[in-house]
Amino acid sequence: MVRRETGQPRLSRVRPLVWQKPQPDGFLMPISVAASLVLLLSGLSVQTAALQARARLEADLRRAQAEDALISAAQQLADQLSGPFACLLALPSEQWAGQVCAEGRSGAALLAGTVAGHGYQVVAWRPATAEPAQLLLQLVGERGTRGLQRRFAVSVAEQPGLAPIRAVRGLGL
Amino acid sequence: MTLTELISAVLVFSLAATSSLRLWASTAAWSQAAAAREALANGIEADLLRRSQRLRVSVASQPPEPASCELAAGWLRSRLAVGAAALPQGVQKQLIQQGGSVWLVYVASAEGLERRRLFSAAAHGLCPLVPTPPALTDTEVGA
Repeated sequence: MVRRETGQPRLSRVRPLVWQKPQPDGFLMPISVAASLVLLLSGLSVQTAALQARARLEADLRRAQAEDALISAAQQLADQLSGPFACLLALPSEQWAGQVCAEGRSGAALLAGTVAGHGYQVVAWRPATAEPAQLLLQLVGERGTRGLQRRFAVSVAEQPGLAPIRAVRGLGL
Repeated sequence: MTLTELISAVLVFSLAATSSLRLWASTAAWSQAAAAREALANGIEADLLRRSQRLRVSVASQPPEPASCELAAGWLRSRLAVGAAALPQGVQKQLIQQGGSVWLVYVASAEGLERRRLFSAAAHGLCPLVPTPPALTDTEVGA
C-alpha cells in the first residue's frame, strides 16, 4: 500500500501547542513556604477574631454590671430619701451639703456612696415641680475617672402621709 | 528537585499545618466557650427583666398595705422569687433581704459571671412615711 504525500505535516511531526519546560531545581521549597504562610496566617486571623469577640463579651458584661450598680444606687438613694434623709427631698443637690437631717445626719453623706463594690456620686437632684423629680447618678471609674451616668425620674408623693417616694424609673443617659 | 529539598519542604509544611491546626482547634474551643457564656449572660438578663417587670406589675395592681419597710421588703422578696421561667443551667439565683431592700443576685461560677441588683421597698412606694424631725439648716454667718 502506497501512502500519498499531501504536503501537510504528519501528526507525529506536529509540535504540541503547550510545551512544558522541565521544572528547575528549588521550586518545591518556595511553594511549601507560601502554603505554610497561608495556613498560619489564616489560623492567626481566626484566632484574632475570636479574641475580639471575647473582649466584646467582657465589655458587655462590665457595662451590664455598671448599669446594675447605677440602678441599685438609685434604689438605695430612694431608700435613704424616704427615711433618714427625707428632709432633702425638696432641696436641689447643691444645697444638700449644708443640711443636717434627722439624728444629726449631714446631707453631704448622701452625695456619694458605694453599692455592690461600685462607687457612685449624685451629680444632680432636681426636686419635683410639675414633673417628677430627677436624679442624675454617675459611677466613679477606676483611678477616679468619670464612669457611666444614668438619669432617673423619681415620682414623689403629692399628698402628705403617704410614702414619700412612689416610684423610681430609669430615663437613660 | 533534590531529596534534601523535598524533605525540607515537607518538614516546613507539616510544621505549619500542625501549628495551624492547633490554632484552629483552640479558636473553636474559645468560640464555643464564648457562645455558652453569652447564652448564659442573655439568659440572666432575660430573667432579671422578667422579674423586674413582674414586680412592677404586682406593685401597680396589688400593692401590699404599708406596714413597715421590712415587711414590704419581705413582700418584694416573695414577688421576686416566683413566676419567672427556669434559669439557665449553671446559674444560681439568690434573694438577700437587707432591711427594707432585697438584693437579687445571679452567679454562674463556672463562667465567672455575676449580676446583682437592689430592689428597695421605698423606691416602689411601699414604705410608710415615718415622721422625722424637721431639717436643721447649718448656716454660717460671717462676722
